[in-house]
Amino acid sequence: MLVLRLIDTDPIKQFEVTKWIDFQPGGLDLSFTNASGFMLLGVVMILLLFGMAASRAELVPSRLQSIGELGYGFVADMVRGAAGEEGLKFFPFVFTLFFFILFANVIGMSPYAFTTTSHIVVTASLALLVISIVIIYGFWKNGLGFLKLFAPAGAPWPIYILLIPIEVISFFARPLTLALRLFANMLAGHIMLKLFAGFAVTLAGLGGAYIAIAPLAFGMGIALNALEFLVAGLQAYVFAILTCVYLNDALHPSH
Amino acid sequence: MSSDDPDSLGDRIAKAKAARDAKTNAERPGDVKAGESAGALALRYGAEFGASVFVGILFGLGIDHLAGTRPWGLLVMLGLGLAAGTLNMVRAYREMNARAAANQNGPPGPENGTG
Repeated sequence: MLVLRLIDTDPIKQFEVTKWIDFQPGGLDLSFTNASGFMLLGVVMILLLFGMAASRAELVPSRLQSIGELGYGFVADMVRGAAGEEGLKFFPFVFTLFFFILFANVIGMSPYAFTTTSHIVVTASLALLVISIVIIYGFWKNGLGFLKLFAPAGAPWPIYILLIPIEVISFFARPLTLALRLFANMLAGHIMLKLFAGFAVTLAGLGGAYIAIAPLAFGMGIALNALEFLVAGLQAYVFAILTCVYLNDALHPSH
Repeated sequence: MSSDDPDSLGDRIAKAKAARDAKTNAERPGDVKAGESAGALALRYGAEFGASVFVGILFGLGIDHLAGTRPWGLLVMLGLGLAAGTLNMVRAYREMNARAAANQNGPPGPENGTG
């Protein structure tokens, strides 16, 4: 029973935001928390990876250069596929977004790390940034023609009374789904991981017949770990591809 | 023999390219399918539907607050939110179908996202 007291199996505790450096100018809480720290770590790692990948460009690429080129090609193909050649002007934005989320997700997979994308504040900020760019660029490029997005052509006019509010609602639901999906996936996945790992420890600590069940929970934990790595990559991809789809609407507002 | 024929190198390059394209196209659908488990699909549809209803409710409450039409704005916008949720779900389904089809027939085209 001593083991139980030593190991904390609370599945929610991993999401606690703790202050590393307290900083509150004029009552405004701008403390440097573990969330800020792990976001900064992700940015530094991305800069290091691509800085090193691009530093010694050779005709026959080294391993690191190949990683950089593959990442570049992957995101470029994604943007081109969802938003066309015109969408490539948003390539730097989508590239940054994809790698920021990917690194945040993957860093969160290592033990004792904090998963910044499991907080809705972070994902909602990213989603609001995306939708702000879509709205501002849409109006800047198309003027009021951007509003055609809310009125698909070819319907008889009485239908528009119903259709326009529906389209407006579904447009404003987009940032919400974008933020919710990433947040919910990361939160649920990490709780599951911690739960099954906690089961294994608790069962082993109880002794007797329970020890026989502990490996099952442990095996489940390993399987979930693999699944979570898949989810980490997939959710970064989904976020980036949906950004491209929404940017496509800003480029070509007519349905 | 082959060094005399100027076409043979070009032919071989074309053959190698075709083989590589076939390989990359064959690998792609597998990658996508592996990710889209039943749980991921359920979460996707749920998020699409729930978010629209939520936005509809927010709009309704906002209209009621501004115009003072207490229950009616909420009722109407909730109905429209449900409709928008269904529409978004259908769109998500269509978009995924288009992507799956594009992955089997070649790289995805720009018409996929316009739904």
